[in-house]
Amino acid sequence: MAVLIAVEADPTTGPMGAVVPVPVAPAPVDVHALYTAHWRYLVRLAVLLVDDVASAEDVVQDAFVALHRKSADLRDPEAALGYLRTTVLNLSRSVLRRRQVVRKHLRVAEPEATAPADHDVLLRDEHRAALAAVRRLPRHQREVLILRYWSGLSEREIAQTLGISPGSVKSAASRGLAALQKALGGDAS
Amino acid sequence: MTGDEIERQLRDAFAARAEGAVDDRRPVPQARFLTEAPARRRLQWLAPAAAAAAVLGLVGGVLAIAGSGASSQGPKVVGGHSAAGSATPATPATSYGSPGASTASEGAGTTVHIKLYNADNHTVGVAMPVIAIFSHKITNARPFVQATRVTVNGKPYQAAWYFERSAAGLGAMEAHLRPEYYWPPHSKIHVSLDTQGKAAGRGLTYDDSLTLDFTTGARTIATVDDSTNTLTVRTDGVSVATYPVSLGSPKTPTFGGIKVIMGKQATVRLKGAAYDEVLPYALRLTYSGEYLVGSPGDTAAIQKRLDVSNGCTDLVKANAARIYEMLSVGDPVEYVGGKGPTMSFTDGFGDWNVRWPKWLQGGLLPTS
Repeated sequence: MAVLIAVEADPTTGPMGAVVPVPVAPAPVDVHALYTAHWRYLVRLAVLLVDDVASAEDVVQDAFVALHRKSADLRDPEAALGYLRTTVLNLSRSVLRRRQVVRKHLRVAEPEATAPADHDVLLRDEHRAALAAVRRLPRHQREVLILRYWSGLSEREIAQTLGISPGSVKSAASRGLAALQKALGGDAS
Repeated sequence: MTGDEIERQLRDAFAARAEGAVDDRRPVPQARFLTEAPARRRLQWLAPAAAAAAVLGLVGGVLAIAGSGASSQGPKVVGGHSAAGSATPATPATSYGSPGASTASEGAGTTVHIKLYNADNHTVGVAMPVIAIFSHKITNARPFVQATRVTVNGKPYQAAWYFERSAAGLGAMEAHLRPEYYWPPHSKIHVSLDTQGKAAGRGLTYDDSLTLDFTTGARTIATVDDSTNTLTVRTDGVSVATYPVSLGSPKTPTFGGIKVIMGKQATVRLKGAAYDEVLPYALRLTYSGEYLVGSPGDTAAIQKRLDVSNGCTDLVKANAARIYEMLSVGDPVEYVGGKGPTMSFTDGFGDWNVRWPKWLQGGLLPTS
């Protein structure tokens, strides 16, 4: 009898010594674990958005700095990844805006809506043509296509990432695809 | 093309671009939030103690420099002259407790992050510089230079760094690595930068080490002679093509000197005050917008060898298509016989216009 009482006095074990869950607040997300797990994925996403690796890496580092500041308030790793994705999207938009300003100060002819010459030079022609056509799309359509055909997100997740409705995702995707078909269709031999 | 084909092409193109840019084998670099965020936070919360924090930062900076001298704690040094291609980059990105990180988070001033413009495992032309991009302006280049090892086909090779401002907005500063003459053709080149924890100047410490592996293709050199309006391509010493070209008009002369092909685009939209056109087969030569490009509208001028362009080197479309296939990123294009000024270093890969003795001095920062 005395033994049983002693066991019951211990809040983490039940009468038969089995572990009883004790309600505790979930721990804040482990930013470092998220970094290790998702760095490559997020840099690749940012490369598609900003089109050069150096800026893409900066964007991702800044996104993690931002997450780190909020990490005490975040408990759910899935939500944290969503936050990272949205931050990468927003920071990428800033990079593109800044680049436009820089470009205004360049001399002579400057191609519109292309990134600094970069690695996609080493891609196959048809890939290069597709990427160039995507680059010329309006921002919203471009982002939706990248998230839909590369990141593997569902329509609902894309909507959450961009802060728009699933309906808008659908229509942006179909308008984007139609524009691409027009742009690329003529090039097909 | 059907909708399905477009979707497939998009998936493939995105995947190729994303995976080409960040290779699966590339190690995850050290996270910046480990070193930057806590310091900033502390300053925000303890605003009255900002002055004290600044002093701490100064002391920390000195500590970081002193710490970098004791290399026994740092990442493994890639062994001397025989650094083999198999050397693994030392990036303790997954440990919170790495000595470099803990020193820095105690307020060791600023960490400098290095990135490479070049991608791993690509074949490029013999004039391709290796470009390091710094997140902050560095003030002492020597530890960086000493941490560099270059091998060609496994043997040590002499190449030197030259520091310049970063013109295209890629970072706060750039350094370019090149040998005296072009890289040897058909060779495997390995560069290792064992910089993590080393000093970049007072209060500045590198937070990463990097490696780069690439291959050179044939020694393909294009020469554009402004006096005869011809473009000649030689591959491994054999002349393979000569085409007529139209260069910049007297008002907008084409730059002289050695340019390097920076990128290839199936089409390019060129826009200026008096023109806005989409041209085929564009090989980029400068950030300012010079290309080797097909220019169907100027066919007559090209055949008469008149200079009518806005600075671009215009070819008739069929010839542009041919050199688009012949030339690769990193191939040099040597401009001779023209009246335009030599392209500036920062307007592209202007590396080869700097004479070797001057290059060895290091540019913005002394390297020896």
